[in-house]
Amino acid sequence: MSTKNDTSLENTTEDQMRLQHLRSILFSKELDELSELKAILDSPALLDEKMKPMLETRIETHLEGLKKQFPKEFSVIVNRMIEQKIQSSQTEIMNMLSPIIGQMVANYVRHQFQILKDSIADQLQLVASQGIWWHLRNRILGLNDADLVLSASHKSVLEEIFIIERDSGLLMASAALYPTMDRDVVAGMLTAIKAFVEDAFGRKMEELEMVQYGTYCIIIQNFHSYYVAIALKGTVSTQEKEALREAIRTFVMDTPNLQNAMQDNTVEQEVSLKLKSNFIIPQEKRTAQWVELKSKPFFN
Amino acid sequence: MISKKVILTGSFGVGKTSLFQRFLTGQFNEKYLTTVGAKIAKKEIYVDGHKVALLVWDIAGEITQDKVPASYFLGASGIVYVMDMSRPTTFAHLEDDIQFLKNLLPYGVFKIVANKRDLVSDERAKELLESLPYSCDFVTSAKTGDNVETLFQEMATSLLENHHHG
Repeated sequence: MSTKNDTSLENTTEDQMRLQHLRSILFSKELDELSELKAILDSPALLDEKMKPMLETRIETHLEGLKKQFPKEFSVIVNRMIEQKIQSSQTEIMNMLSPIIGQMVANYVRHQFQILKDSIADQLQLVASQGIWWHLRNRILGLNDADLVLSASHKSVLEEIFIIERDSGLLMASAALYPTMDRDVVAGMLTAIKAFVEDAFGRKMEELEMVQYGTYCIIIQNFHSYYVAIALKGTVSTQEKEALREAIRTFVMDTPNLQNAMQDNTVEQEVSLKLKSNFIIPQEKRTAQWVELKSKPFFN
Repeated sequence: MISKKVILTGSFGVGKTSLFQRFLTGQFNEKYLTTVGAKIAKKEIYVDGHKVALLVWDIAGEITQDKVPASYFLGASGIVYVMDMSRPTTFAHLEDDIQFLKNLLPYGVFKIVANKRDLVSDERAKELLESLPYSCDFVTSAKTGDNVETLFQEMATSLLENHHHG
């Protein structure tokens, strides 16, 4: 005996079968596509084949964009990271770089020696070609051939000259080949260094006469109430130093108003101009004929 | 333009370099770095239309002034003697130091400065200033910048007056 409920269940199952049949008729194409899609998703090889071209294009576009945007977006962070890395690994970096730097320095020194060697060879040839009277004259003037050859090989250049009040370190007059840092401060610092050295070694009767650093040197000529400091670049022979000191003495004697330079700005300017015309030789006026330079170093 | 040498002196750690930096650059650095030897800088100030170039020597601090190389003081026109309000030991030698410096520079302009005002209370500051054997010319704070500009401006004014009166 069938109940009302049984009849209803049978009807539902039948409906579902009909619906399924209808679906297979209506969506046959879509169902095929769905199963094809499912097959692709289930197979890595098929998925790779389908996705790879698309992904490659997307990645390429993204990379292009990243390349363009990277410096703008990340340069600050990258710079900070590099700085931190350098700070924390200074020893390692030095260990890594020192052989390369050492090689570069060695090459540079070798190159400079070659230039010096060539230059000395040229000068020696020139000395050898000079007559007996030239050598005799140098002996009378107290000029040493070796010094002349060396000084001519690496000519010195007077870059700056200062006249500085001895106690206060205030600048009285100055001249320079090129514009440099504040000369008042340079004069003060030179005076402080001078005072420090003279005090530190407790030699009250002796004074600092020269400061040397690398190929630069500062020659100091002391007078009663002021001193003259001359900054030179290059090799300076003993004769050149003496000639320079003599020239300074002559300048001081020929400049009686020098003492007024501190009180009068006009005098300071006059003395500075005179210093420039007497001691500073512009590059274009420096003669290549060292034979003439050697007897009157630093002057035209 | 006239140029004058001014020395910043006093015991160590009283804030001479900080006053120097505050005056020159308008900045203050919390980090303490002791001065070795001397540091020199120039600043030009206008006083009544006259340009005065102050060559300021910031020298290494010493507990007493007779320990400072005497040659640093030679030719100086102005002395700024600095003390630290938070450390009483820095004004313990004030009287002897000023006497010593006045013997070296009888015609110099002296300014006595109590620095680091920001580190003491109003009450403590008043008490300290009253206990000093010399009256203090300026109470400053290099940290906040209080009175620093005025100190150097007044120094330049006094130096110019001295210069005109020979």
